[in-house]
Amino acid sequence: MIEILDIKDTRAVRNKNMILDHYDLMINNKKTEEGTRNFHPAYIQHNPLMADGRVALAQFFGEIARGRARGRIVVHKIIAAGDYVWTHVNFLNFFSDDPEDTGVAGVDIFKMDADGKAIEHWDVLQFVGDPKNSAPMLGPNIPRANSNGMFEERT
Amino acid sequence: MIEITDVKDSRAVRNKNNVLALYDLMINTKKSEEGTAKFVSPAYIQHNPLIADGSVALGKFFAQVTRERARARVIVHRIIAVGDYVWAHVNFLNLFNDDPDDTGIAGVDIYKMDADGNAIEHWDTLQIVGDPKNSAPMIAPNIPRANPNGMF
Repeated sequence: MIEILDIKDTRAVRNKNMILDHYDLMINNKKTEEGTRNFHPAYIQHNPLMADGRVALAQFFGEIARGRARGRIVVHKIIAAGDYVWTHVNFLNFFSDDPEDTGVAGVDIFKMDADGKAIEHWDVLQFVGDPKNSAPMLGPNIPRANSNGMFEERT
Repeated sequence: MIEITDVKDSRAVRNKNNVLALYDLMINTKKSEEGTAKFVSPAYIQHNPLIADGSVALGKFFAQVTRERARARVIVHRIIAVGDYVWAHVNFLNLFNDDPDDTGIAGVDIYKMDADGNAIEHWDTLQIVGDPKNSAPMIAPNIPRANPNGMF
């Protein structure tokens, strides 16, 4: 994981740590209530599939945690400045139990309040596919135009 | 547009301005190859699965889109920059159709910049926006939005 922040920006450091802790508890350890403890009750949700609020978030991931034993998240990069934390992640085995699942690539954008609680969230999600089927949301079996993968860092 | 940068981080400020200038030239003013020649390294490493490596491939990709689509444009909603990285939350509109009501594609572009302020590596995630009655077309048709907040 690559962490992009100014370590002198103590608010950003706190917020970044809170989000990493949240992912780990809510998704990887399936403790969805505990994992949303630092989310504001009035959390504003822009993901079209989830209702507003901390409770709706915990319920959504609670269902995945119960239904998908392998469900997990890998954080590849995280950037934080001031009140914002943005992450580049790979959600795995949310919609299948296939051990070869390549999952969903996502960027989550969190806005945090003065107390370090998440108050607003936007995201952009895309199925990863594989090198021979690299853009399944556009059409089947479109091969990758490069050999770099979705997440690796080459420079 | 919301800009999230420490104004004392002069490298981040320069990089953020370069990425905004790149979007404007490459897409909104349809000077794609001028934009990529100016702000993208020839050795640019591309992680978008549909575009080949290099500044030339990027310039050609958007030159074709902007030739074919008169209304093609990008709106930057928020941008964050720290050190060598610039991340932008954007809405690409009319890249693939001419419908004036197109809601387009939501994207986050992640750029890594070199010491000279040119982009050297890029990752993205893209999602078709749809509308409140058809809010997740990449998953299934006609799933209504669970909230009234929009994508951006």
